[in-house]
Amino acid sequence: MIRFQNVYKRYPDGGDALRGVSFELARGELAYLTGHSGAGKSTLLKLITLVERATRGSVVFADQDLGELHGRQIAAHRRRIGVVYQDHKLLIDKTVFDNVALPLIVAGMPYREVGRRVRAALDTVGLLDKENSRPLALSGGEQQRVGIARAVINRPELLLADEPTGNLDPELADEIMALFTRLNQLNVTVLIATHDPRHFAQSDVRVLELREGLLVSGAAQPEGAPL
Amino acid sequence: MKAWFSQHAQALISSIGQMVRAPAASVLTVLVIAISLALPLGLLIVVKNLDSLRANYDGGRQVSILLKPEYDEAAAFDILARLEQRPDIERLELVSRDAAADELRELLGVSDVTAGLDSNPIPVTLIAQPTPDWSSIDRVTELAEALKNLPEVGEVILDVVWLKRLEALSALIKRAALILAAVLGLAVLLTVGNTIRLMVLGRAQEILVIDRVGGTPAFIRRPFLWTGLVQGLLGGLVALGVAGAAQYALSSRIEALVSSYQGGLSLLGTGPVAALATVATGALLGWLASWVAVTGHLRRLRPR
Ligand SMILES: Nc1ncnc2c1ncn2[C@@H]1O[C@H](COP(=O)(O)OP(=O)(O)OP(=O)(O)O)[C@@H](O)[C@H]1O
Ligand SMILES: [Mg+2]
Repeated sequence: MIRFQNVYKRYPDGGDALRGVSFELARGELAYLTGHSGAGKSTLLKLITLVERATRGSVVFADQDLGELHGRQIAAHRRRIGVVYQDHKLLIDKTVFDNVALPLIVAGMPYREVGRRVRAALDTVGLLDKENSRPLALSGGEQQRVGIARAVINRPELLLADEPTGNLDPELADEIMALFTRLNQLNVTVLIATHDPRHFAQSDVRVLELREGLLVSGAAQPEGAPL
Repeated sequence: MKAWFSQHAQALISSIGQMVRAPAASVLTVLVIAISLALPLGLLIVVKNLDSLRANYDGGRQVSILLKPEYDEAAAFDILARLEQRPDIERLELVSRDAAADELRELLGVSDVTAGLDSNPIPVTLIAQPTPDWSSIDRVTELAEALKNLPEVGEVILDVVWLKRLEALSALIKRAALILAAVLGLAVLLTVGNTIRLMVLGRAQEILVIDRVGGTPAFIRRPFLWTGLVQGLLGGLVALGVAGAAQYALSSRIEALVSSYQGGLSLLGTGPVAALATVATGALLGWLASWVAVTGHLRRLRPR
């Protein structure tokens, strides 16, 4: 699903955020991306969503080299991926419903269908009664769940989450992690960036660890990983 | 196709809604566009009227012969009879002092032009129409020179000279209108561009999120393009209104002038072609300006 080959990323006014990162994530896999603050986790996710481009090396998504995508091709690429942001990136002057509907609207889905899909997604994250609220009237955890509903609304092949539980108390964090696991069981590939090792301490899931831009562990595909 | 249409309808409705909710900036923009379009349009209408005046004026080659004040109508008949023998004059017409005074009175709207004067100071005038063979500007000028040398003649007025001046004036105004149109067109681009740029900045977060969830550049541009287009369109319509109002206000004065010059000419208005061109120009400039403004912003969202 995703293949990084010797990827470097240097920001114009900064150092090397990634230095020769190579790994492969199979379709249907769930993995964590960890590392201390500034290690390059967000940068790695931005390369997948083409918010940034690799300075060197190649990022391949579903057999497509992302370096070759431009303009509307980038938009089409992003419609295949759901992203949960640490800062939610919700539109504060739009309702919860409109926020969640946005990926469907930009994809040109008919309105009848949009309503049905949005309500189903809000039901999944337990926010059906908040569809007409504005994001600022919600708690941090509720806002995060709106962001998750928006990320999964267009049934993405890949779900990326950047510190999805940063604002949440432990019970809610566990609930959201369970939600990701459920989505993964529906064959969605999931990559979760977090510096909280609590999430993967007990389980035997794959963990990719970055340290100052270097991938120090988890590069090798675990045995028995789904293909 | 249906989806395309509904997306555009949606974008149009949302951009009109945006303008209605925050009308101040849009109203100002529309007015700037209107003024920018109305000024060159007004000049072009002036040119159009001057041109039609010239085209319709068949007295282009006639020569007005003003007799010296001491010669009255009786003397004028003698002179007329003499001049009619000339091969270069086809027709002669005598305008009496009273007739000239009447005409002047009609033109100026004054009840009695010669009131308070001892005698009518207007000279007796002969209007000569050269024969077709003699009607080139050079020939007519030659004729005028010859007539000027007659002892009874005080002044010779060549209408063709006025036509030449009118033509030059009209060309001058036309050029001024084009320069003005170019300068003001730029002003429209900058004004609409700035309005849209501010709107884009006000909605930067929304644009960012739409970009992140896979909205195409075209999708993001669409509502702004409609906003620019609608503003330009409204500006064009207001410009037509301004031009129409100005024409209405001036028409009675100008028509008096024109009809006394040559009976039956009326002031030409904008006309459907120019009207359509004005509105289309406004719409196009508005669209173009917002395209530039939004595209400039989108460039910053592109991955590097
Ligand atoms: N837009 C940018 N311009 C310049 N430097 C940047 C930019 N974004 C990130 N960096 C730098 O790149 C490095 C990696 O940043 P990144 O955001 O990927 O880290 P992170 O692992 O996500 O950290 P955190 O856990 O704090 O979110 C950091 O040194 C950061 O300062
Ligand atoms: Mg980060």
